[in-house]
Amino acid sequence: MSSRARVDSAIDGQESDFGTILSHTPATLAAFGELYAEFWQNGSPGPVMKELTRLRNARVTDCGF
Amino acid sequence: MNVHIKPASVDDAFASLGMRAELLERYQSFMDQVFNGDVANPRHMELCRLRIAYIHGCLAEIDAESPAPLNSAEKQALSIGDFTTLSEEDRVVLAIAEQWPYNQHGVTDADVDALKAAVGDAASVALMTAIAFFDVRCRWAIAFSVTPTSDN
Repeated sequence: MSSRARVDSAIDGQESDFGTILSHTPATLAAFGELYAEFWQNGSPGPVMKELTRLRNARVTDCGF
Repeated sequence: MNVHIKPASVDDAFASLGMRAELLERYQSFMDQVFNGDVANPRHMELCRLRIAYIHGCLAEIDAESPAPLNSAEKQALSIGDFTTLSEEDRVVLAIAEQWPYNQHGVTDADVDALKAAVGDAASVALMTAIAFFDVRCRWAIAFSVTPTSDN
C-alpha cells in the first residue's frame, strides 16, 4: 500500500485525487461522472442500501479512500 | 421477485442492465471510453484483459472477441502466467494486472513508476482504469453465471 498519490494531477495547481488523476483521460472522467450520478440518484435499491454495500466493499478491500 | 439470468456472453450479461435503460446507456458510453479510447496501447489493453480473465477463470471473457488479438504463444503465456517470452514493456504492464484481481495492495509504487516510465502518465491512468473494469467484467460474468457459446 502506498501513502502517496502515484500519478500527478492532470490539473495545474491541484492536488492529486480521484478526479484530477482521472483528468488525464477527460472523456473517461466525464463518462464516469454520468454513470456514477445515474447509479446513485436513481433506481433501486435505495441510497441507504447502496451506501451499505459501498462501505462494506471499501472495508473488504481495505480502501481508505 | 427472483430473476434468474443466464446470458450467453459478458456483454449480454451487462445487457441485463436494460432493466435500467438510463444506467445501461451510461454504462455503455463509459465502457466505450475505457476500452476503445485512443490513449492506451490496444495491445497492452488486450494483454491485461486476457490475463485477468485467466486469473479469474472467466471463460466468457477468455473467449470474447478482441480488437487487438494476440497469437497462440502469447495466449498460452498469459494462461499460465509465464511472461518470460514477452517484452520488457509487456511485463511492466502485466505486473499491474497480475496483482489487481486478488491483491490490489500488492501493486507497488515501483510497479506504477515503471508503468509511467514505459507509457506515460495518461496511458497509465487509461490502462489502470481499464484493468479495474476488466476485473469488474469478470466478476460480473461469474456472478451472473455467464456461459461461453460459439458466438462469444
